[in-house]
Amino acid sequence: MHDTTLIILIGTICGIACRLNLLRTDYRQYPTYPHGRIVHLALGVIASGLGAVLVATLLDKNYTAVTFLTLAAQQFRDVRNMERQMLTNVDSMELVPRGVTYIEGIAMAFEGRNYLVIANAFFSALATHFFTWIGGLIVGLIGLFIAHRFMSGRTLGSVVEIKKAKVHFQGPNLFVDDILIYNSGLKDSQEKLVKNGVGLILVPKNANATVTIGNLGQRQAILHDVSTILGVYHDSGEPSLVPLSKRDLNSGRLALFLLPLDRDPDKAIEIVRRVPLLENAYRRPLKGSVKPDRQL
Amino acid sequence: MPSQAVSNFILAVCTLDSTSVGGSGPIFYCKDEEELQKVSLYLEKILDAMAHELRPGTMILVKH
Repeated sequence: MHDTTLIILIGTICGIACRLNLLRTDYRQYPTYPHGRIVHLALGVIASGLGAVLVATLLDKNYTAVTFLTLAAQQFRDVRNMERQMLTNVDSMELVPRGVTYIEGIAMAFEGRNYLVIANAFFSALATHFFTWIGGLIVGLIGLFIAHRFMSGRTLGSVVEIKKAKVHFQGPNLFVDDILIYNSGLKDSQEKLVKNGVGLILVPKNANATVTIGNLGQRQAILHDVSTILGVYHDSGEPSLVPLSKRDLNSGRLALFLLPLDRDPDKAIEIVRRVPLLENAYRRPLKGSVKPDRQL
Repeated sequence: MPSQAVSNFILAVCTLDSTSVGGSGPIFYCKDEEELQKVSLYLEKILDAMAHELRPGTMILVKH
């Protein structure tokens, strides 16, 4: 086989493998199956083709081909816009919305992953040139593992401790342990809330976590994930049955009032533990050099 | 999502004590606690609003 053809072929295959590995449709059903996946697979093929062809053209001393990459960057920024727009539109129809922070995070991940695909295709194509096709495949595999590790972010369980808490009423006020959630006057609603509610308290492990779980986007993401997996005891036009999160301002703890269809607090705790720590919500005040005492 | 604009409105008031409320909003006088609960529940469903107990015997229906 011609040398250039082999470079492009190996680079493209490694790039596509990388995209396939990063494209998971899990409980969130996102990207949607099947058409959402096809869209992203097609873009992944284009991205890996770009990365692989770049090596071939550079070897041909055709250096202006680098300008191609700017075109690719523009293309993938559009992917981000497309994802953002679609998710925002769909979000208004959700019983428990994802929230803009979660959506931005997803859109950013889609853009970022395409660049990883380009990089993987580029390096494996380059390795094919220097170390034949076996070297190319090995570099492609290594890149695939690096991309996989690099793109799986942290979860909430690493920054907070999660405890079960009692849902109860004091007069018309709904409490999760000692944190006030909201006021609900109807006896009928109060009975439903106590019967179906599950209370959790998130205790931050340090000041970074305190700020992060104060973020409304992160809190909405938690409520959305729990509602997706355990279902939600809520409908449109039922404003008195809403899952909600409230902060205890003195300690920074976060009270979660959940209304799952599957009322198992242990499952709820495990789900909250696995909620992604949104990169747009995560803050690190402890890194601030003006705070040597490391307290918030 | 929080916004700077006023988003919560009192749509109606239900009460047992006619001397405790007033103003321009719709007020529903009820004769006992049972009727108060019933009227508030119906209004909640009709208006898609949430019934809050302001004090014993007085409910406000708020659109959130």
